[in-house]
Amino acid sequence: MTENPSSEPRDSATALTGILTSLRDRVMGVSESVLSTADGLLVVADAESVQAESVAALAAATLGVGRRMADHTGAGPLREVVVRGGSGHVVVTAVGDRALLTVMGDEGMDLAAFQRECPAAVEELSKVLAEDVPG
Amino acid sequence: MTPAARNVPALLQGLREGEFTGTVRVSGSPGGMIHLRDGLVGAIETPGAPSATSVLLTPGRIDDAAWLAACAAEPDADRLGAYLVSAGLIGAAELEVVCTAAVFDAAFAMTLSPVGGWETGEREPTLLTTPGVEPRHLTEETTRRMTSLTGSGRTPGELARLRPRLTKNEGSVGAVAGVPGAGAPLAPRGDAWLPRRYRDLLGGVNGRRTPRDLAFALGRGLYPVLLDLIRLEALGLVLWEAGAATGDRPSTAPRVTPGSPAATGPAPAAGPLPRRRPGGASPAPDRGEKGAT
Repeated sequence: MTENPSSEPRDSATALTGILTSLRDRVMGVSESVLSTADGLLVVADAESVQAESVAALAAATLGVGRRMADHTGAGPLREVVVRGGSGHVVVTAVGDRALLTVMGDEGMDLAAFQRECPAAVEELSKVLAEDVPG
Repeated sequence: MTPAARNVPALLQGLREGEFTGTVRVSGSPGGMIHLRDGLVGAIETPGAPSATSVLLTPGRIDDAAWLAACAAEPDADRLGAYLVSAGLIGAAELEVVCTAAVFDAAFAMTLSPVGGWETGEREPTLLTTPGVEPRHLTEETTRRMTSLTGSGRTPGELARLRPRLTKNEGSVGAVAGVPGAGAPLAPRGDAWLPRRYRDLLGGVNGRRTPRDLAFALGRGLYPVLLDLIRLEALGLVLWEAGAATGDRPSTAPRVTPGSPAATGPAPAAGPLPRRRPGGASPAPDRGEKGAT
């Protein structure tokens, strides 16, 4: 499912994973995260129990539906989609135009800290991804 | 209303004397909300430790559907406890034990990192222990807990940030994603002699979770989880891993590309969704890259 045509993406993958791991360290309750392309292919994951490929695909669908709903109801430009379950949270947010970040956390996830830290993480991810795109 | 105070215990003591009913919002990481009723601590919510609600719902002590029904039937969460008891979902004594333990545990969790500041506010309904915990008892017990953990050579705050992992004696525990008691994940080396509580805890230990994460995954208190981890370390079953776990090597995939329209392009103009007709094909052309190489 995933391919690695050249060794170059490997370095950026390490950098990207580092950003995801760091987000987990800084925000209490974050357990896993997945970075995917806007159309649902896995880029990198800091994951343990979820199937990263599936989450990547669902992220694209989730954000697409969320954007459509925001648009349809006049809620303004979509910031993020938050799924609150009985025992956990999932947040899907766009990273630039071409990528999506999905963050999973437990019930006690520190959402305030997440709101504080997430923009910086998204910014860092965008930078690495921008370098990744050949001119 | 907010009395000048040096720290949170002093603040709570002052509010106790004023028989304050309301909420103290404590900032910091993680910070939290202390719910006071007549000056007594009825509940504490913090990202640092599972609330009474988590402890009741995570292990399935109260069924999720029954819980939602109770919340709908009793909109004032302050009275939710009494409702749960009257509905026969839990015994009064057990509920009090769970709620009181959660207060002590949350106070302990909030003490593990420095407090930024605080402000008092209106009462916010929440599941309470009644009548509540005397602030002085809370402070004394928290101090006792902090002291009891300092013998290990690390401060309690450091311990709580580590990510314990299993010792490498045998294959991994089939790390079951935070599903407590899901068929009792097996402990390594067939430690049949281990109590169920330890085996469940070992099933959650994976080198990524902090003690706080384990507490949430299992629906147990942070302090008892810390104590159990220390015992499991003494038994040689877990190691305290310092620093950030690197995690497994993730797979990488090339970014998608060739000249396809950006999938996140502007949404179609607001309007009705395309009407579907029986037997008709999807109006939007399918982007067929995923299968292609």
